[in-house]
Formats: sequence, structure tokens, C-alpha cells
Amino acid sequence: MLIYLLKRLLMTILVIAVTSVIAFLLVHLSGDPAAAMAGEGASPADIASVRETFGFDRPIVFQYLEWVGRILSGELGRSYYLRMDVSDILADHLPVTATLGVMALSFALLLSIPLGVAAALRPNTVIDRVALWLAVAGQALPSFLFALGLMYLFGVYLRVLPISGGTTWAHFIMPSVALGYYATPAIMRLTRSGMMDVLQSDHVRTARAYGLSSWRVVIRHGLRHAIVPVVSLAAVQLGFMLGGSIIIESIFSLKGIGYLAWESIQRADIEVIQAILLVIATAYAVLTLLADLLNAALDPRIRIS
Amino acid sequence: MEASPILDVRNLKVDIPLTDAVLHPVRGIDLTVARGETVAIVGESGCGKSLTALAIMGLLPRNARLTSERIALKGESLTSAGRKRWRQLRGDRIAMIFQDPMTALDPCYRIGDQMREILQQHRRVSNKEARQRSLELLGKVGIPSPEDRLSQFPHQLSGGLRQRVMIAMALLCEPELIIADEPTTALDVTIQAQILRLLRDIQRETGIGLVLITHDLGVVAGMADRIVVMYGGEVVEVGACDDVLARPLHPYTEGLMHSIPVPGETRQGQTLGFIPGVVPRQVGELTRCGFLERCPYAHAKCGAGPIALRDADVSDGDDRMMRCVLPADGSGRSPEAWVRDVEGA
Ligand SMILES: Nc1ncnc2c1ncn2[C@@H]1O[C@H](COP(=O)(O)OP(=O)(O)O)[C@@H](O)[C@H]1O
Ligand SMILES: [Mg+2]
Repeated sequence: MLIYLLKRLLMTILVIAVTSVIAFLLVHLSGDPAAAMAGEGASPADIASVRETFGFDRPIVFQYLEWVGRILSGELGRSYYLRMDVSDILADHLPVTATLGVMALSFALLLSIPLGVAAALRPNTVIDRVALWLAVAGQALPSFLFALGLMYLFGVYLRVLPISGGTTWAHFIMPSVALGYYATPAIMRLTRSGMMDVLQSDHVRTARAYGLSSWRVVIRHGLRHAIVPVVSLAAVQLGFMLGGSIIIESIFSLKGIGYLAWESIQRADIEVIQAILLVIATAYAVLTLLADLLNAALDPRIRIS
Repeated sequence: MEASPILDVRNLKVDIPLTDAVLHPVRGIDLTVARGETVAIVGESGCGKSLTALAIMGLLPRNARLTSERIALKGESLTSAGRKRWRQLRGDRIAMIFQDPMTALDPCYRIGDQMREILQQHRRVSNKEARQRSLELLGKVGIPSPEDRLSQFPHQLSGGLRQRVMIAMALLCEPELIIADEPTTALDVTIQAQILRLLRDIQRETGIGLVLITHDLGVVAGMADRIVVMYGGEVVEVGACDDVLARPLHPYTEGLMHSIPVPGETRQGQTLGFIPGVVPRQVGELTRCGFLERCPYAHAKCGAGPIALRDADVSDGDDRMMRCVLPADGSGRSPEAWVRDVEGA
């Protein structure tokens, strides 16, 4: 188990390191940062002076190492546009996105896992059809359309939920549903197929042959196995929601990371963009690690060889 | 009044509707198991042995349809019993041991947890009592250092040990009947003998009824009291174990006998007999002998209509039944028939 843990930890660090290089290169090679910062209509002399002030004229490897060193010592840098520390900016926006992501994933799991299990228990019945229909609809419907539909129904027509901003929990309900609904089809189908497989398996037959209650058979001896790949998928989807919630955040005017990324790209605020990329990459890597650890807890064959 | 048998099955049928036809893997089986009796169900793979066992357990696959005149456990009819009653009986009054011990236990739970779960499903016992009982049984089935095993996961145990764990699980609630479906088929030859001996000893000691399902007639000698030979979903021969082994009546049983090596007689490298062909897919009602295509003694009478299971009028025991038109005294056959087939092949 210790070796497994160390291996996974090493992998996580490696992934973060590699993505940090990619993040850095993307920002620095996608255009001249000095020109972008100097703004439209700046003279070549202005650009050169910006370049020198911010050190863009030095070798890129050197710049990268300096950036990494700074980050490792806990300094994320300063936004030249907002004239604020990047860490303060992130502290404003991260909780919004994290709340949105966690709520969206919770919604997705609460909807799709029971539905997937029910569909697997009663294949080719009404419940299976409904689940399939939901899955197809979830994939076919663009998320902004779904979000606007929700907004109209609950915000404008029924007037039960606030439609913009992020000051209360209620503000997060619709965005979470809109964002999470997108993740349900995949989770539901994975749960369904996993459950179909495990319900055919020998150890489930044994559980039935020893008179265990249906609940125990289905949950303890069935879902416990079927959930393992779902955990991995959910981790990836949460990572995706953290980084990719930009559409939902702008529809519902939530000042999250997606929104911040969008603004920062328009302002060529490279310190902020780099920090966001790094945060998201780290979140991805850590979530994957957590998923693997959770799976090792679920399945002893992973942790004990 | 004679005490009711532990298991009494009459005319058990399993039908499986397929898209193009209906499969009849079990075509009306009668089976009784008395207290303290071991009955072996023998037949090649695909004869319907497992489905018969699963039907008795109430565990048939969803697509299978069960009909029967009677399935009774110690006099209690189960033909009209609800799912709840079946579930109460399973693991408590009837237990089953499966073929592959590598996959039959849940890899996610410790041996001790799996045993406790079963015991607490059927009995009001504390965790401590459950642990005590599990330890006792693991010891009884010959598992070394049972204390350590309780906290191990199935994948940490060898196949032979896992099958011993299965046997201990089956014994947890002191059932009246254990159905062992090919309990040694997946194991090494040396382990096979140990597990069979263990099953036999436990059966003798506890006096439970045991149904031993196997495709290998070689394993039943010294194990079973009675043998039921199945072919194509039908019972083709029934009799006391010694009688059947000494003098098989049905050509199919004869063929099975010729395909097992005889200790001391069969020399290394010697060709064994075998039954040509395979068990046909059981579609549609039988209109003739089901074994006809593969039988070396087949003649016109065998194709005239379905063959009934009849009392074989032989001196060496009562209860001998066969589903064949040949005279029971052995005339009109030659033991060479099977071996010659091998040479011809
Ligand atoms: N769920 C099922 N669906 C379709 N056919 C099945 C199913 N289960 C078993 N069968 C068929 O029924 C026949 C008897 O199966 P089984 O009872 O497992 O035989 P045995 O245990 O004697 O080897 C086989 O031909 C098998 O293919
Ligand atoms: Mg079988």
C-alpha cells in the first residue's frame, strides 16, 4: 500500500510539473506578451520597455524556472491589470467555482447513480427507457439552452430561484443543475453497464444463494464494485467542471474561475492566466489521486497484492 | 409414517424462451434426497445440472421459466412460496457451494465479514458470537490459522482454501441440505481429492443431505449413496451408487464409465473410451430417445417415440430406473462399443 501510495504521489507531481510547463509555454508562445500588455497602438519602444520591465527578453527556460521558484515559495505574482495579488484574486473566485463544481457533481451523482442502478435492475422497462431518454437528451441539448430554459422556468416564470449572482446558496441551485446535468448521461450509463455486469457475477450469485437481502446484494455486493470506474469518471468530470464552467458562470453571472479566465485572456493578464491554468491542472491531478485512493479503499485488490 | 425426505422434487422443468425457439434445458426431473443421504447428479456439461440446482435454490436466471409439480423442503412445499420465503431458506436451510471458488467470494470483503454477514442475515447473533462461530467452522473445514484468515481477503487465499471457506459458509446456519455444483472442477487434482474427502466427512458427521453435482463419474465412488444420471435435461438412470458403478444400465452411463480411468487397470498412455459427439441443444419436445444420435446400440425402436423412465427389473437393488429400451440384463450390448469408437475416430 505504501509503495502504491508513493507511486501515485510521484505520478501526481509529475503531471503537475508537465502541465506547468505546458501552461507556461502556451501563455508565452501564443503571442508576444509584451505587445499584448502594452496594448493596442503602443509604439515599438513602449513594447520594448514593457518587455524589459517584465523580463520577457530573457531566455524562456530562465523565465520558467524563475516562475516555478516564485510559485513554490508561495508567490503567485501580481495582476498588472487589476493591480492586485494573484492569490487575492484567486481567493475571490475559487470558492465560487469550487461550490458550483461540488454542487453540480453532487447533483449529477445523486441523479445518475440511482437511475443507473434502477435501469440495471430493470433492463428494458419503463425506468430503463426514461433513463436512456434522459441520457440522450442530456447529451444532445446544448448546456446554455438548458441553462436558459431553467432560468426562464424557475427564475422568470415561477420566480422561485434567483437568476444571477452568487451571494446565497439558492443562487447556486440552477447553475449547479445546469452544469451537473451535463455530467449525468456518462455517469448513468457507466453505472448501468457496471451494475449489469456485476449482477451477473459469481459473487453476487453467492450473495443471493446465501439469502442476503436484496438491498445488501445490490448495494454492498453490487454497487460497491460498479462504482469503482464511476469514481474515476466523476473525478475527471469535476476537474472539467472546475475548468470549463465558463458558459454557465457567465449565464448566471457567477464570478468564478471560468469567468476570471475569460476576462484575463481578453486583458492578456498573463500572471493570472498562468495561475489559473496551474490551479486547474493541480486540481485535476489531485482529484485523480483522490479518486485512485478512494478506489483503493473500495477494492482491496488494488491496495493489497 | 415415513419421515418426509429433506428434498422432494417432482417433474421439475426449466424453459428458456429464445428469440427463435424455446430451450428445454431441464425436461421434468424427479429428485429426492433423504436425511443423511448423498445424491450425485452426473452428466456431461450442458445436461442441465446447474439449472436444476439453481431451480431448487430459487435462483434461476431471469429469462428462465420454472414449472414443477412439487418442490418441497422437509415437507414444506416451495412451489407456491414467495420470494421472501425462498430468501429466508437460502443460506439457512439450503446452502450452495459453487464451482469456481476464485470468483464465488466477494473480493471486496474480508472472509470474516462475509461469514458474519450471512450468519447475521439468518440469526440474531452479536459480532463476537459470529466471529466465534466462523472460527469454529474454519477450523472444522481444515483451514490452518483461522484467526488470520478471518481478516484476509479472498484473493489472499489459494483456490483450495477458498473452497474450504465456501464449505464453512455453507455450514454456518447448519442447513439440512447442501447443493455442491461441481465443487472441485476448478481445482488442482490433488486438492480435488482433499475437498471431496472433506465434504464426505462433514456430510457423514452432520447427517445433512448432500447433492453433489459433477460431470465426472470418477469422483462419486465412495462419496454418493445414490446416483442420478442426467442427459439432455432428463434423468436417464437412477440407482444406488455401487450398483450403477458396477453395472451401468443406460448406454450413456456406460459411455461415461468408459471415459474414466480405472486406478490400477488403466495403463499410462492407454486410450480411454469416449462418447462421440456433444450434447445437442435442447430445442422442442423430444419425440424419440434424446441420446439416439450418440448411442452405439441405437436401433429402430429408439426413434419411435419418447422413451419413458422405467423400473429396471434387476436383482441387485430396488429403485433402479433407466430410460432405455434395451433389456436391463445387459444382453445385446458389448463393452467394446465405446473403445472401438475411439479407434474408428
Ligand atoms: N441463462 C441462460 N440462457 C440461455 N441458455 C442457458 C442459460 N443457462 C443455461 N443455459 C443452457 O442450458 C443448458 C444447460 O445448462 P446447465 O444447467 O448450466 O448445464 P450443466 O450444469 O449440466 O453443464 C446449456 O445448454 C446452457 O447453454
Ligand atoms: Mg454446470
